[in-house]
Amino acid sequence: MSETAVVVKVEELMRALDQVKKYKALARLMVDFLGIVLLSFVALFSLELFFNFYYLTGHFQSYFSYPNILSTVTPSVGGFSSTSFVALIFIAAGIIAGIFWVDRKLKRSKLEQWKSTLDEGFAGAVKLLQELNWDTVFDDIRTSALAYGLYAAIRIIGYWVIAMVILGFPYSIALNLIHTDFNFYLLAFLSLPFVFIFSKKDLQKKYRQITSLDNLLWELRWFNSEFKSAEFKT
Amino acid sequence: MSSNQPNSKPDLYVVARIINVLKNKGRIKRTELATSTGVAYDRLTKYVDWMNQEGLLKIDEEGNIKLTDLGLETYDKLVKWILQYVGKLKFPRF
Repeated sequence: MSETAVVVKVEELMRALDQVKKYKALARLMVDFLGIVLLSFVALFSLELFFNFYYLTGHFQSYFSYPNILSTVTPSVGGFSSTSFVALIFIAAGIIAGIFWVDRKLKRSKLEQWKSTLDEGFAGAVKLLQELNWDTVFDDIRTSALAYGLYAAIRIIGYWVIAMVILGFPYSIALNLIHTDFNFYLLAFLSLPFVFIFSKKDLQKKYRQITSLDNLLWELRWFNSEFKSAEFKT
Repeated sequence: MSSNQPNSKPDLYVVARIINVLKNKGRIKRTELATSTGVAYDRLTKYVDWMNQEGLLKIDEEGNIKLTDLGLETYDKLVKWILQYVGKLKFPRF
């Protein structure tokens, strides 16, 4: 009976560490994510360059006819243009593609590699405990919490951009009706409550998971010092 | 360090596996024990000799290995000892 209890507890421990492993993979995937978002910027600039050349050679009047290449991503204060809106769509697409990429890769993480060892029962549980490198485990938990927090922040920014793109259409129509200029900052401000409403559950979940990682770190620190200092005598 | 000792500190995993097999199978030969535990014969021999020396198991004239009461008691102690620490762990829900 006690043997089963040890196996059950070690299984819980390994599952928690698997979760840490998954979150740690996030740190590496952040590079992929940034790469995808950067690609969306490159695509945007390339498109703008292409249309600008077209305009210069007198082919047709384009929306992308601003002299400053950065005008697509840096709208003037208080102002907004169709060009900035295209930029928003490109960035939103980059962020969505990045989120999908990260989620897909995370689901493919190799987990439960300890299962066959634990199937040996109590002896397997002892082996897993003995083979744990606690310093690496603690480092991994710290990195995971950081990566997870960063990923949560990026997701929220992503939701914000997407909300701005979605709200941009009704906002433009409403402004046309009352003949007022487009205000980028007002749109950003109006989108904010929607972001919090739609990502409330996600935000709570992320907060809970970060605190869980913190709690796990403290639990394992205690376990490591107690278990290591104790001496088993026959 | 005596030549019979497996290491300066015996691997609890190997000890646990040996005791577990002996608990389930009763009296068995070295080769069968090596196969059942998945431990290399040479390494197992060192452990068996050391455990015999410690009184955890007994080897009869025919070479059969049997777990002693002390061996069984030690195994239970090991389980309780690990449970004492692992049992207190509270894992957060992710």
